[in-house]
Amino acid sequence: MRQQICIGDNLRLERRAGEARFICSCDRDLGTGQVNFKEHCRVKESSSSDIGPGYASSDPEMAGQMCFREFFCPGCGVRLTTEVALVGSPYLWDIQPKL
Amino acid sequence: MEQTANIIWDGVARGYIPPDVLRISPKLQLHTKGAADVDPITYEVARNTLLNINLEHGQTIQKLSISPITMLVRDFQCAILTENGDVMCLGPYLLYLGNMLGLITKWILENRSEEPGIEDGDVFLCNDPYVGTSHQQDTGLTCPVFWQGELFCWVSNSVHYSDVGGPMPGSFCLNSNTIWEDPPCFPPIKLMERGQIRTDLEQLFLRQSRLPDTVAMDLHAAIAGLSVAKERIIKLIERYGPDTVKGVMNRIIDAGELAIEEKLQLIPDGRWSERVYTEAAVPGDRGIYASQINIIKEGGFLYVDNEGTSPQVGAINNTYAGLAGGTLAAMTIMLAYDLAGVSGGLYRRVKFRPVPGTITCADYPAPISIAGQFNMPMVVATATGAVAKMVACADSPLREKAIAMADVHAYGGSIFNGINQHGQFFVGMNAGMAVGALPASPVRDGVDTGGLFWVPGMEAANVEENELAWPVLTLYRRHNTAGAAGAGRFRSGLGAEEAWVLHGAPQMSMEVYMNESFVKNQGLLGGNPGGRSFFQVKKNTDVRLCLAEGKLPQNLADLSGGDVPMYFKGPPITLEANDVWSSNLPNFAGYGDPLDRDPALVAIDVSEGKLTTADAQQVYAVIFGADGSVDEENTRACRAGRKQARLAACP
Ligand SMILES: [Zn+2]
Repeated sequence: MRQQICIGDNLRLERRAGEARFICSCDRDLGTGQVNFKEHCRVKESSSSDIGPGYASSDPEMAGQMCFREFFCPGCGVRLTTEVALVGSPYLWDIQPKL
Repeated sequence: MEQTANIIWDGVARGYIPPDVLRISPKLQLHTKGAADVDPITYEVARNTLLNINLEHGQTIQKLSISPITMLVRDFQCAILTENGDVMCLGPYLLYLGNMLGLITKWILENRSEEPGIEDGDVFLCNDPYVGTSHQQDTGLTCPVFWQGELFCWVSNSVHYSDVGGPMPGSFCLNSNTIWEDPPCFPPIKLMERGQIRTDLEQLFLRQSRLPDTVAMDLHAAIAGLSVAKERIIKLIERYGPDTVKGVMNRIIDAGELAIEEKLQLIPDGRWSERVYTEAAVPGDRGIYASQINIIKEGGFLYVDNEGTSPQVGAINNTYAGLAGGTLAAMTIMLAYDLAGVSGGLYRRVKFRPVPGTITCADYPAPISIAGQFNMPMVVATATGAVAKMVACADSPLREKAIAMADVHAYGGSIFNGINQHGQFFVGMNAGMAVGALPASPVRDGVDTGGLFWVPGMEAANVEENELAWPVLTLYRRHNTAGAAGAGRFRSGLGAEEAWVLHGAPQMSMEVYMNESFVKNQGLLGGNPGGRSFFQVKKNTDVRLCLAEGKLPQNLADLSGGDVPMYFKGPPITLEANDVWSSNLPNFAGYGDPLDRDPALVAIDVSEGKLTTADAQQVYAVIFGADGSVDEENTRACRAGRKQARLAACP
C-alpha cells in the first residue's frame, strides 16, 4: 500500500492520521484528498494576454473572455499549477489520485 | 470498447463503437487457430518480419505518392490487424489513425460480411467519419488477407488525400453547419473486387475531387502499399504455416498488453482531467467552446470520457473515432513508448464512455471535414493533459515519461489554392510547421523543433520543396525564442515561424489559417502554457524593392504596407504580389514553476541566443552579473522575493 503519491515537484498526497491529505514540499497542508487542493491555494487570476512577453492577443475582446489562473502554495509561494480558463468557470478538479 | 448503455453506436446515426463480440456472417470463414507453442527464435524472426512488413507498407506509400502531404510530410498510417480487426501494430506515422483502421475494419466485418461479402482480393474504401475516420480527407483502405479460403488477417492504411470534394478547395469546409455542406462521406465500398479495381467506384471517388489526377496517384500508392504487405504476409505464412504466424500475432498483442499492465501497476487508482478551449465554430462566430477528457484508472484498466465538453456546434466537430484515436495517441506516447508500434495491447486496456452530441463525439449530421486541422490536435492536446497528470502521479520510472501539452491547434498549417507557376490549379497544405516542438517533461526540457510527438515519422517539408510545389518564396524560417511561452522548471522545445511571399503567380487564395485570439494550451504542474499561434498578413509592402536591393526582410514590422485585421479563422484572403504573410508554431507547454528552473539552464539559453537577459530576469528571476555569469546570490534573493510577492498579491 502506498504511503504517499508524489504529484510533480512539490505536491504530494500523503497519509496523515489515517487520512489522505495534499501536502506541499514546504510541509504546508493543502487539505483533504477528498477536495480539490486548488481550493486551498492562493490564486492569482490575470488576463490571458498578460501571462508574459509574447502572449498579447490581436483580439482583446475574445481574449477578455479568458483568464490565466496561478495556484500558489500559501506556505512557500511555489506555483503548483496553472489554468487557462473561461472567466467565471469553476476550477477544474483535475488531479484526484487515490491513496 | 465498453459501450454507453442504451445508445446505438452504429456508425450511421452516431460514431461506431464495435461490440465486444462482432456480428459476422457465417458465410465468412475466419482463421482463428494460433499456435501457443512457437519457439522463441521463430517468434522473434516472425515478429520482426511482421513489423518490417508494416514498415515496408508505409515506405511504399511514401515512395509512390505524389502529394507533398503524403510523400514529404507522411500524414498517413498503416497497420496489420487480426482477422477480427484488432490492431496488432502501427507504423511510425499519424498515431490517431491507427485505432480508426480497426474501427473501419470491424464495421466492415459486421456490415459487409453477409452482403456484398468479403472475399480474397477485395479492398474496401471508407472515408465516413461516423464509421471511423478523423475526417473525410483521411480516407481508409482495408484489405483482407486470405489463406486457403479463411480470412487470416487485414492490412490497412489511411492517407490524407489532397481534395475529396465539398465546397472548399482542400475539402476543409470551415463554414459547414451540417454534413451536407461537407465533402461526401463514403461508408465502406468495395473499391477492389477479387483483385480487380472497380473502375466505376474509383471514378465515383475521384469525380468528387478538384485534383483527380493527384488523388488517383496517391490512391494507387495506397493500394500498392496494401499489395506489398499482403504479399509479404502470404510468404510468411507459406514459410511458417498459418497457425504459427497467427500464434505470433496473438503473442505480440498479448506481450504488448502485459507491458501496459505492468505500467498500470505503477499508477495509483484515481481520476485525472484536462480541459482546453477552442473558438469560432464557423468564421465570424465569437463563441468559445470546451474540450474535456477525464480518465479514471481502476486496477488494470483506464476508463475515458469527455464529460464537460461543449455540445456539437458549427464545423468544429469530430466523431467517436477522433475521440478514441486522439486519446489512444497520447496514451501510446506516454504508456506504450517502448512497444515499437505494437498498440493492440494498449487498446485492450482502455474503455471509452463517450458523451455523444458533443464537439469531440458528435452525432450525425454534424460536419467533420475540418477536424483534421482543428479538432484532432485539440483532442490529442486534451488527452495529453489528462494522461500526463496521471503519469506524473506514477512511480518512477514511469512518472518521468509524462509530457506537457502541444498547441491545441498544433499543425500550424495553412491551406491555400490558385493557379501555380506552371499554369495549373493547385491546392497547397503548408506543413513547414511540422518541424514541431517537443514539450517539457518532469525531468528534461523539450526538444527544439523536435517534431509533433503523435506523428513520430512526420517531417516538415523543406523550404525548397515548398517553393518547387507552389508559387511562393520563403523569406525566413527560424526558431521562436525561449521567452515566457512554454517556460517552466523544464521548458518546452522551441517552435518556429516563417514568412512567405508570392513568386511566379500573380495571386492565390488563403482559405484556412489560424490566428488564435488567446492562448489555448495548458502548462503542466506549474509550468507556463505554450504560446499563441498566429497568422499575419501585410498588404502592399515594399518587399519587392527590398529583394531588388539585395535585402532579405526578416520581420513583417520592417516592411511598409498595411496589416490585415485577422480573426482566428476568417473568410478567404486573396494574396497578391506585394503581400507578405507569416505564421508560427508556438512553443508548447512547460513543466513546473519557472522560478525553480536551474539558473545554469537559463544561462545556457541566454548564451545560445534563445533567451534575452531581460526575459531571463522577468520569466525566471535569474540575475546576471557584469561578467555575464549568473549572480547566484542575487538570483536566490530575487526568487525568494518573487515568491513572497506572489502571496502578498493574492491574500
Ligand atoms: Zn509550499
